Amino acid sequence: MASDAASAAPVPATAKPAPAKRRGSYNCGRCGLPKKGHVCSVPGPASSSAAASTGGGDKAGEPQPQPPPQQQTKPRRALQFDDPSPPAASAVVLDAMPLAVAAPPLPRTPPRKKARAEVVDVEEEEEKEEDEDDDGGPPLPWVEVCAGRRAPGEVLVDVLRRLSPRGVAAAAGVSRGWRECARHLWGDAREVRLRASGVRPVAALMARCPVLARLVLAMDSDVDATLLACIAFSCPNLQSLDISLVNNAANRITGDELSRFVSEKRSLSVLTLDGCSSLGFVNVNSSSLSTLRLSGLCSLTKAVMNCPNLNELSLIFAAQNNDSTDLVALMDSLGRTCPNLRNLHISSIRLCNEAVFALESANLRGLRMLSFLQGSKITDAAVASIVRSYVSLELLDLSGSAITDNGLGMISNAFPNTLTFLLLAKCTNITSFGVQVAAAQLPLLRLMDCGQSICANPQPEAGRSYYFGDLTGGIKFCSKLPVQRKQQTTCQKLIIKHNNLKKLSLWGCSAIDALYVNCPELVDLNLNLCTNLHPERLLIQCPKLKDVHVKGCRDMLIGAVRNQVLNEFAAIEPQLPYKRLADGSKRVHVPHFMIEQLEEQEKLGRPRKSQCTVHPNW
Amino acid sequence: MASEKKVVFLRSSDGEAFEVSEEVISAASVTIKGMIDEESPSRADTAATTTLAIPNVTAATLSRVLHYVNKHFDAAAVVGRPDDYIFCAPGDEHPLARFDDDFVDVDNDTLIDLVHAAEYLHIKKLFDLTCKAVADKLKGRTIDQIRETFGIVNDYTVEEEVEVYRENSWAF
Repeated sequence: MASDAASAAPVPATAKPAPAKRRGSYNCGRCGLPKKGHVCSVPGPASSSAAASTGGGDKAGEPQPQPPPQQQTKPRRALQFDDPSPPAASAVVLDAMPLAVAAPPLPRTPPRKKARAEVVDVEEEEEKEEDEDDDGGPPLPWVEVCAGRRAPGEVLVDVLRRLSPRGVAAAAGVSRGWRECARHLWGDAREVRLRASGVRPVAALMARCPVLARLVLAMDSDVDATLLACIAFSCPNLQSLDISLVNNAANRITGDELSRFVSEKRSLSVLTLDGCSSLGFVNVNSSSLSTLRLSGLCSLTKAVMNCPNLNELSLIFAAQNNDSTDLVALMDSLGRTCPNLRNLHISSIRLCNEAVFALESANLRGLRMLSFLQGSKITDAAVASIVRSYVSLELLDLSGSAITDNGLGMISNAFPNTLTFLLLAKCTNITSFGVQVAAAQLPLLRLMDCGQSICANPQPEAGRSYYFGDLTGGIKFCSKLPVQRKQQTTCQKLIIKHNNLKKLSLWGCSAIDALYVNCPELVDLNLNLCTNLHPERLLIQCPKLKDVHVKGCRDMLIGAVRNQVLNEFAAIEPQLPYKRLADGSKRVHVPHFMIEQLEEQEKLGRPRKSQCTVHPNW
Repeated sequence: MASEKKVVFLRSSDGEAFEVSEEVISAASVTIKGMIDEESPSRADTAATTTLAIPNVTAATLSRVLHYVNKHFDAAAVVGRPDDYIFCAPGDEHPLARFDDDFVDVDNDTLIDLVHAAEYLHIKKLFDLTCKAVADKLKGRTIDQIRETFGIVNDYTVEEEVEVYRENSWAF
């Protein structure tokens, strides 16, 4: 998949002058002999002291995107706009992610539910990439690569680099020269991604990768302390560890074991653990840890994170009603023990205003990204607290909360100069008015996610009346989907004019019936399941649009979207805002200045071809 | 020097010369760009064209490489904006994807030559493409299949074979 290219990116073949060396010398870290072709006789763990050798390497390496939690996005690097997973129930999350736009820097094992095998290139998972070339190692001999023809070993190494670990293992068996190249590759490998069942393959592989800094494991079998012990033993320089689970594997690591692992691995800076339901408590003490992501948490009795350098913390609790974690206490201690937190991401149905207040006292002035997901008890009071406590949030995610337009107003007033990502999926109390205000007052916004927030019927009643047709201008059409009965609240208009917005998601906003989007930078627009959006009251003026998602929309709407984005302004004439619709409904209201602008643009006669794709199918 | 049609000649190892636009080849190949830069003081803006010797690459390979380079790096040949295809909408084929596929759909010898040439000339895109193509040929093969595909002789002794197998048994 795209990652192949991505992983290859840092491989500037040979001639380039080696950038500042980030790796240790080419000699064995244990005995000091040249590493080439060398099997060290000194046994492993004299090594924790060798940890320093790879020092700051990871600082530059960006944190990889986390696995999408059940439904929404999580904190990401500031200003990074690569993979904004649209919010939404899992059914929609993935489909809406276009490959080209969303290609994450690293391919993850697909989230379990809806694996998109076709995207994730299912070769056994995992490529290994490496950041650097040989900087001064002994040159490899020429190797026979093809019936009687030889090529420099480095070339073969570059080829092998593009294989999965298992592919490399197979290649090593081909001939002596190939084995030499494979060894060379292992010796150099800084990142390995492996899908494994059981500890054995991990142990075998780790033993061969002395400078390994990043390990990404997708475990097919249950994970327990043995795996941690094995990793602790065989990877002296490990900086980043990511363990995810596939195929219903369970994670049996307990709080004790995790504490021990973290405090022993002094080089570890990024730790990502999936399915932490057996933890019981979290007690991590580490001065090196900068990113900690735990998901699948459940009923923590205690949570102590004594990590002065912790930069990013993500705690995703399983959405179970019997979760008994005391989030108020957790937040309270968090502020005291992790003063340098910049990104905080917490997803729990037990989130409440009190928890947010507790964090306020912690005085985390440096916080840039804040996500409180699924906190249906979070209200405007919590927003007031957030607004008071943090001065420069770049990302705010309150998806699933109960905030209203008032809260949205407070947010808009507080962070006009910093807020770049605003996620409000499933905030059913907000209306299009609030969204409009937010868009107008937050000029830096690049992503706005209002999925399922402006809903006609947050709780669809069972006996909803179906509505099969409509007469508009003498054209009769039948909707394929049940459409909610028109009520006053379902007819909301949304006008968004924004100069920076790149991605807008109105997924499932069934209450919107008129939409005007004028965003010159917009790349991705999600209108999935906007079932009440009126095709004639839609106006999209977004020249850079690449993807429009219209899954589950009525055919007429899909047609209208297509017309507008593909034919550009050919379709504008009949759509001009002051047209009164045949059914006598209100006209779309568009401010004057936009019309002028429009005409101006038309005069310029922009020469351009649309690059946009409309995605009508699931 | 706003030379509109500056060309250089590349002479392959077997003596055949190929003409290519200087601008295009400089954009593509770091190695050749370096050679041209070295040359340029001496030739100033005389009308004389430069001929560069490419000793490691045969005519057959070089002509393929230049074909690739002209497709990928000649801005005039790329339809529309030169960077258009980078931002292709998903689902759209990369306009040159088909060309690339065909380009690497060659026998192993040729492919290895191309990898080699790309490495020597330092054409990163081509190098990535060809390495990937070779890797694809290796992917999912057993040891024996790889040997067969590439015609490689097994030079292990029996003991070594056992050892290698043991070493890599985790993967099988």
